[in-house]
Amino acid sequence: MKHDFDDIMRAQARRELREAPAGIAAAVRARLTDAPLERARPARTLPIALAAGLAAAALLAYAFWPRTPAVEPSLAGDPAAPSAPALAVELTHKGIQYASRIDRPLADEWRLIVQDSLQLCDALLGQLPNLPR
Amino acid sequence: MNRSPSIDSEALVARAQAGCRESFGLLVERHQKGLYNFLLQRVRSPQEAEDLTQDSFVRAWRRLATYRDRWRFSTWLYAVARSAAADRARERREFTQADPPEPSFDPDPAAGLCAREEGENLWRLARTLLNEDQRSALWLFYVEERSAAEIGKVLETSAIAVRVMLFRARRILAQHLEHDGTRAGAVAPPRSRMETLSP
Repeated sequence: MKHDFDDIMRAQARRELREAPAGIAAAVRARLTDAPLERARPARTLPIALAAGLAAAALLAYAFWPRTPAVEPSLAGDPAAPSAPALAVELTHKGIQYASRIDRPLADEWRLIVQDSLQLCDALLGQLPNLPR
Repeated sequence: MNRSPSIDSEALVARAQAGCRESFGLLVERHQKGLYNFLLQRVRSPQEAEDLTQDSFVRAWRRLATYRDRWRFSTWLYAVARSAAADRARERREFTQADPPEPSFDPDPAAGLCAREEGENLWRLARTLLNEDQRSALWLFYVEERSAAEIGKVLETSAIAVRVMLFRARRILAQHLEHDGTRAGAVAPPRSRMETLSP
């Protein structure tokens, strides 16, 4: 008849069982008087507190850090900046110069744009005698 | 043997955690046999097992505040004992490396003689073929009827590792028996049992 391995293990373990020596409980009781009961270790709150502190510091720094005010474009406030009409004249002047460098004959649309620009300049600043026409 | 069988261990632990030495004394009486036999499977002599049993209880008392009722008290106690046994084995290795190995432990020569007459005793065989953790796993599984998860708690490993450990230990024993022919054809292969291991 085939025996089961587990049954053999259990049966043989029962034969292996021993009674505990009689003096264990008394000896332990005697040693307990000298052995203080340790307190539970405090929970590891340090890393959590550190992370929370860093986060709070970052938030405060973000909120109260002095910022350089953003530079707003101001056409009238900056004396060095060209005024709007002067800028229009300058750009028109450049456009006409670029157009005059084109080898092939200018298209009709381009001529109209140049004329309009010149009229705009004339209206703003008066006649521009040196501009090519 | 148990003077207060009506009070469960967890209640006694709660009292002991509050500083009641008498409650812990009752726990000692209640668990000393199981702990002593558990340690007998790990160490080389009954005297060492007795010393370690005392040390384990004292260590458990000191660390009682760390016990949580997620596990049974006895499971936690076995884990403390296993730690104490491992510490002692480490100290012994450090200080007596040059000493020759001691003969294998035979706690009861008369019982050994009976065992040889009846056939090979697997637990004695385990002492010569298996390491300490494998023997503890087998003991906790077959004698204490602990789950793989509880054994893992004691041995500080996972339940899966415990299953593998049990499987290998049983296979080693079975192979040895087959090789010796002492029980050729009389021992069922342990594979089927592994499938019934509860996590």
